[in-house]
Amino acid sequence: MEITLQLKGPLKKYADETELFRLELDGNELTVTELLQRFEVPASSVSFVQVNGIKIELDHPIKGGDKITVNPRVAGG
Amino acid sequence: MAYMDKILRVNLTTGNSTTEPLNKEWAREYLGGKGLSIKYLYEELKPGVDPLSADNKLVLMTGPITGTLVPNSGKLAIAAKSPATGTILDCSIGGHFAPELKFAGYDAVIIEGKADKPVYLYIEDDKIELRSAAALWGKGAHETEHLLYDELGDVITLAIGQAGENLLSMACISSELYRQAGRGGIGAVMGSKNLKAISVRGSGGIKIPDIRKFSAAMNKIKREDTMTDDNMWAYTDGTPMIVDLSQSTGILPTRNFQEGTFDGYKAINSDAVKRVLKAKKACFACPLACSNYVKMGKTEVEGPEYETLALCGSNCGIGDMEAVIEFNRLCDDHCLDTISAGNTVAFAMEMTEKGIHDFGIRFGDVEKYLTMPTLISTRKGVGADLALGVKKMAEKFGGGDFAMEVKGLEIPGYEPRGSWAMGLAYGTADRGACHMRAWPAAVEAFGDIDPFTSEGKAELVIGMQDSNSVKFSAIWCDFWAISTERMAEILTLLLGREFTAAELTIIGERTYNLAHLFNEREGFDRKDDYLPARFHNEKLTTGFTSGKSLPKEEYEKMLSDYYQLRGWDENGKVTAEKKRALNL
Repeated sequence: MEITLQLKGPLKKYADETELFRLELDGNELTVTELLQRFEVPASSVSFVQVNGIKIELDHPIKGGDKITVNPRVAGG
Repeated sequence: MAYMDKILRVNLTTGNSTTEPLNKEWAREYLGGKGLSIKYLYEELKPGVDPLSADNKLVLMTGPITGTLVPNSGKLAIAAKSPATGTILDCSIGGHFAPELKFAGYDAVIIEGKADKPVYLYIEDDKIELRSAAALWGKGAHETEHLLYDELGDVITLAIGQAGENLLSMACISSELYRQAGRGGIGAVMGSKNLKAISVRGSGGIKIPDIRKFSAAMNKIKREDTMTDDNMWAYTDGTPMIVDLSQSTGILPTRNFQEGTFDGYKAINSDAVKRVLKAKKACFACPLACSNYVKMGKTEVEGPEYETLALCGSNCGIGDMEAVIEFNRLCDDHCLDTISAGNTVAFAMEMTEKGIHDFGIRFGDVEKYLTMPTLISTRKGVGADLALGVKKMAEKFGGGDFAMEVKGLEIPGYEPRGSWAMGLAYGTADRGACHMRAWPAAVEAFGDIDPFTSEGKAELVIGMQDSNSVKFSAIWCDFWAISTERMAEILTLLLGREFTAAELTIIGERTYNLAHLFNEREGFDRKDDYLPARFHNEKLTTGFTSGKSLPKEEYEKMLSDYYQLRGWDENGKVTAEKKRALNL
C-alpha cells in the first residue's frame, strides 16, 4: 500500500531531510509505532501523530492512502 | 563571580543615581530574574500603590547565568506592579540588553520616581546620565532606537512607543526593534515615569571560576541537550509551527474564541511563514535562533510568532499573512502587546457583529484591522475605546460573557476547552492570563495526557509553574526544555557551590508563593482566579474539540485541588504553615 509520510520540523532528519514524501509499504498490517520504528524516530521526540489530519493513538493501524503527520515535541509557546 | 554584586538605583524625580551591593541573602533565596525582582518589589513597594504613579518602581534584573556561555541565557526580567491587572508583573525580553548590562557592571537597575520632562537613561559602565528625550517623545520604538544608535553608537536599547507614552494597559517595552517585554502594560510604567528609553554599553566581562572546564561543559551540554529533537523545532520552524498543532487539536483561538479551528489556517501557518522567510535571528548565547525575519509585499518584521498569528490572525478572522505581518510591525513599532491587541480587536469585532456596540469593525475586515494599532496606541477615534483593553471595554459597553481575560489580562493562544489544565494555568498565573507560567497544552493537547479531565491537573500545573519560576530567575529562555537537574548542574559549575534539583524546586516554589503573596496583599483571592464565562457555558462546534467545554464545576474542582496542593486555604490564601516552610 502507498501512504504519505510527513516528518515535521526537526524530525525530517530521520528521512534524509525530506519532510513530506510518498512511501510504498508491504502488504502487512502496520501500526504508527511500527512505522516510526522503521525510520528510527524515537518516540520521546514525538508529541503526537495525525492520520489524515486527525490526532490518533500510536497503535492506530495504517491503511493505504493515509497521510501520516508526525509532530515534534515543543517547549515554551 | 557570576553575579556582579552591584545594583544601580536611579531616581528620576531627583535625577540622582546610586549603586549598592546586591542583597546576597535574597540572591541565595531567589537566584535573580523573576524571583529576585519580585523580592525587591515586595519589600520596597507600599501596598495599594498606583501602578502609574511615581511610587511604582521598574526593576530590570539579570541572573547568574546572564552574559555567560550558558546556552539560551540572553533574557532580562523587567518587573513592576502591573497597570493592567494590579498584580505583580514580571516580563522577560530577549536580545542582548541583559548581557550588556552585566558587562557594564550591574546585576540590576531599579528605577524610581518620575522625571518632570521626557528623559532617557544612558548607562556606560560607571557613567550614568539622564538625558533629554524631547526629540524622541511621540516617536515609535523603531525610530527611537535608530536615533539613539546614531547619537550613542554601539548601544543596546530598551524603548517605548506611543502606547507606553499614552499609558495603555497593553503597552510593551521593545528592544532591537522586534523583541518585547510584552505583557501587563510594563511599557506604560516607563511612560508614566517620562522615561522613553534606556541605552546601555558595557566594556567589562564576567569572571568564571574555571573557564576551561566551564567552556568544555557548556559545549557538551549544547551539543547533547540543547540542539536536540526536543528543541530544534525552534530552529527549523520557530513558534509558527504551533499553528498546525493547535488547529489539529482544536485549540486555535478563532473569532474571539468562538471556535478552536480556523478554515484559513494554512495562510498563517509555519509553511506560510517559511515562504516569506529571509533570515533566522538569535538572542545572545542561543544556538536555536528561533526568530524568523520575514518580508512580504511592502512590509517586513521579525516574526510573526505563534501568539501573533493566533490572536491577530485566526482570532480576528484574518487569514492573510501579509496583513498579519503588517499588523505585527505596527504593534511592534507602537509597542502594543500583540496578544492583548489581537484580543481587543477581536472583542470589538464580536461586539459589533452581535449588535451590542458598533466599533465599526467586523471579523476578517483587513482594511479596518490595519488601522487599529495606530488608532489604539494613540487613543484616537475608535482606538480611544479599544485602548481600554477587553476587561474595561466590557465594563463600559457590555459583552462580559465573552470578554476573554483573567484579572484584566487578555488570553493567550491556547483554547482551554481543549486543554483543561491550560484553563487552570490561566486562572492561577501570577500576572493574569499567561501561558508562560505553565504551558500544559504541550502535554495535554499536543501530548498524551487526557485534556478533558480535571484529574491530576493541579499537580501538573504546579510542577510547571515552579520549574518555570526557577528557569526565569536564573534566567533561561523558555524554549530550551531544560530539566531542573541540568539547571542545578550548570549553576554548580558557574557559582562554585553545590546546587541540587530539590533546592531549585524549593526556590521555584518560594518564588511563586512570593508572587502570590504580593497579589494577596493587593486584595486578590479566589474570586479573581476565574475564567471567562464562554469557556464554561459555550461548547465548541468544530474539529477535535467539537462538543467540548470546560464545565465550571470541573474548573472549580481543579482550583480547589490546586490550592490544597499548594498549601493554600480554600480561598486561595497562603497559609502560615506554608510561609514558614518556605521562609517567607
